[in-house]
Amino acid sequence: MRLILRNVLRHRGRFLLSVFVVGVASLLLVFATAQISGVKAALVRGMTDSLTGHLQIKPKAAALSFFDVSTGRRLELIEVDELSSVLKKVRALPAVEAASPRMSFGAVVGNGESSTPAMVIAVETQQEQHVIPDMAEVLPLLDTAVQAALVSPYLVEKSGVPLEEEILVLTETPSEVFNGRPYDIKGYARSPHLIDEFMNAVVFTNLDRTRKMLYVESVATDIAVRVKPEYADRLPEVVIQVREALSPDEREHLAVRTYREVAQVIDSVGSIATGMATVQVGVVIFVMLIVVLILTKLGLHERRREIGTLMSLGMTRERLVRMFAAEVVIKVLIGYMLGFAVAMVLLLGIRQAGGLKGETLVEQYMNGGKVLLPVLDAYNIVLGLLLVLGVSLLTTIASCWQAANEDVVSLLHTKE
Amino acid sequence: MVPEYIDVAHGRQRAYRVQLGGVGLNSRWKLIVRNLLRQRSRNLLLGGLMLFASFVIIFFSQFLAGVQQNFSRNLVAVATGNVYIASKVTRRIDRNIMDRDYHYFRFTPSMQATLKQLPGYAGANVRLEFDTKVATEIDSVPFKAMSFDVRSDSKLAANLRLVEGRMFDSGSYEVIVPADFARRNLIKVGDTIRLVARSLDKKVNLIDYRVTGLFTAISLPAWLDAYIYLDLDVARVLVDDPYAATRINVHLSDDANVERVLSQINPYLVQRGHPGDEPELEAADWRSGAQIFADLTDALKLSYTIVIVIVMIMVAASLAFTTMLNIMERTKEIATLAALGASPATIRALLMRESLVLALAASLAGLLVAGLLYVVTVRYGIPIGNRELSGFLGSSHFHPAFAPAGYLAGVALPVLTAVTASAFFAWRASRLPITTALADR
Repeated sequence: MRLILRNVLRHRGRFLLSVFVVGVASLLLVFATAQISGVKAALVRGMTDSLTGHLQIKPKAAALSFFDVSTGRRLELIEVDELSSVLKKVRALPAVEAASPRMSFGAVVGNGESSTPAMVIAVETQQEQHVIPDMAEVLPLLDTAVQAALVSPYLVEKSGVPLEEEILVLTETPSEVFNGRPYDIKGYARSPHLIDEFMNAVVFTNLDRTRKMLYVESVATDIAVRVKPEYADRLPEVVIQVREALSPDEREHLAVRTYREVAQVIDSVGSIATGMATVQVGVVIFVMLIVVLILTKLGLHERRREIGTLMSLGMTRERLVRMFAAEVVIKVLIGYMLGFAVAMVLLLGIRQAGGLKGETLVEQYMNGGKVLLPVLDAYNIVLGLLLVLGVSLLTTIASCWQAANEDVVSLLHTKE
Repeated sequence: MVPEYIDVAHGRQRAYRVQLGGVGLNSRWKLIVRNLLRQRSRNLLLGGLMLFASFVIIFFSQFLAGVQQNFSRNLVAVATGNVYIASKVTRRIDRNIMDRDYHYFRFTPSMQATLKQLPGYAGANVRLEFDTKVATEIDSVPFKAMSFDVRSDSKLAANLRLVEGRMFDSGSYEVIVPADFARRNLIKVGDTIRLVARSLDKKVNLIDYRVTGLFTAISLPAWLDAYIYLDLDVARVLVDDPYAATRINVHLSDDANVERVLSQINPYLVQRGHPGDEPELEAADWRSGAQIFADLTDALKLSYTIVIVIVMIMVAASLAFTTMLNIMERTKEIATLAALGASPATIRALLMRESLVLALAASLAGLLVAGLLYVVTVRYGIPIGNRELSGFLGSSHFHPAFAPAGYLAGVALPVLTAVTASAFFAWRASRLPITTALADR
């Protein structure tokens, strides 16, 4: 070990260069993995805490996507008895924190002169606050008046109707007639986390009033479910529990899906962030590998006589390869640690400052939401280290083996 | 017969002819090549590093140019023209050309005649887009429709890739429908759908149209897939006015004429006023409503620049180090050349030329690889399955674009880095006292 350490430190410039190159690549790798995890976490948080909850229970015949809302005429409904039965069973499950019935449908909203397509989500505010906590502050505004509505800033601006004024919601009903009601805009349907574009077309209304507008009673189009924090990472398990809790008829009629299934946009946007970061990190890691390989080759070429001497003194080829490999491992480890330390300082700084803010739409897409808090987990740290270490060893081991396999006489020959 | 010597000093200095018995080198370039081949594996790796750096620079710049092309050239060609005339923007939200309200106005023959007088006028495409209610057998859904003249607006027509069926015929009551919208609303080719729209005089009209095709937009799908398309003349029947329009895309022979055109057309539009219920009109540069594209390309440029800077720092550091080691190894050789009369400048030039040749060869190889990849990808395009990404990159099939500046940078940056890195060490080596360098320590 002493010999290895001496060899590593013998050429300080080369050692520093190796550490620098590995450090820069590792810094980028750690930063990028934390950013990717942060983007995904921001997307999930924004979507589940502002719109979908963790699970969605709705008729199998309804559209899969949360955003593909039907007009009132084609609504697939959970009927009265079924709704109360399902709600009771789901709320009784230990994994479930809250379950809220909704009427979600497509409508047009406007000022009477012009109108814009919108997705109306009619909710029971008491339960819904627990299902989508990001909206907990504004949802009680729906209780301030029967005709209260929360409208996205986009729709408010598009319709030209200011806060506290009336906006007209028009839709077809399941009984195939048009109906419309004025709603007072009591507040904005705006999430502190979710990408604005996903909320642009959303209007929250009071469930009872909206049922009246649709000429229906005590039915729902879907049930949004929030699970307890300890179950958030075990959703497939909770889905099974919910399905098992339902009666055979209910299971036949209703589908239980996770947010990921109903909002596939999370995976699409997440994969853009992953793809872009992977390309960047891949390029830098590749450059790092070539540099490490060059430096290893240079070092081995310079140490021909030393290798010859060690072999003539009885050192086996395997021990020699192990020694060279250990030297590479030490350099890569130190480089990775330094890169990791700098990345940690930067990431902690970003978290301390409240995260990376996404003001424009492009920034929000790149951040996965309005606030990106980089997430560094142990799995990614170890994976990054293994990646840098493994690939460095793989690329240099051949050169080390080649050097160790040379003939002792030619290694000790003084001729250049 | 070619003399077997190497000319290591030339010009004003005394020319020493160094006989290198039997080697057969007759120029400094051969010496450079021999020196490069002497450390073949090391130089191959260094060359590979520079090749990769050069490739990355060129490929990324082509990628960026491709994105910019989708958001500029294609925007001009299929969506806005160099200048577009539409109802005046009065709200902040309407600044985004992809998502703004366009109001009806009448594109009269006198207005057409005025446009034809504009400097560099190359044509005008009339668009009529409106909010509509699409009534099918099972539902009625709010959507948007856009009409255009399929005979003259060929670039928009070519941009709508039909996945099933055919394009609507000019003058026929036919429509093509976005494939995704058709899937969600169970619309098939051959179905009849009813479009309900408001006419210019604020009545509500409805007409039945036959669906002839389902499409996805090739460029700008996030925007153009949000419309049902139909012929301009039959859309004008629906909105009840033979001159109805919502946007006129004016194409110019040279984008540099935009400012001149705007300075001529806007006073005319102000003078025109707003007859009847028509809105005030204004002509705008295609860039004015495309801030989102500028934001996007800026973000991509930033991440691209960060990667290039990191890569070039790493390349420069390893080049400097390898050059230093190479020169250290050749101290005696350099001293021998100096002892035989080579000036420091000659030695510097020799060492720097070695780096230059290696960097140039590697960069040109990188350029070749990037160029070949460009030829393949520009021909076939890279299909983008991810819907959000295709919206982000402005196309369902990504095509890179030729970026001369990227090619220049791809060659120049590695070469400059290599030459700069080697210059310092070559300078130091050339000034080493001969006795010190030759001492057998």
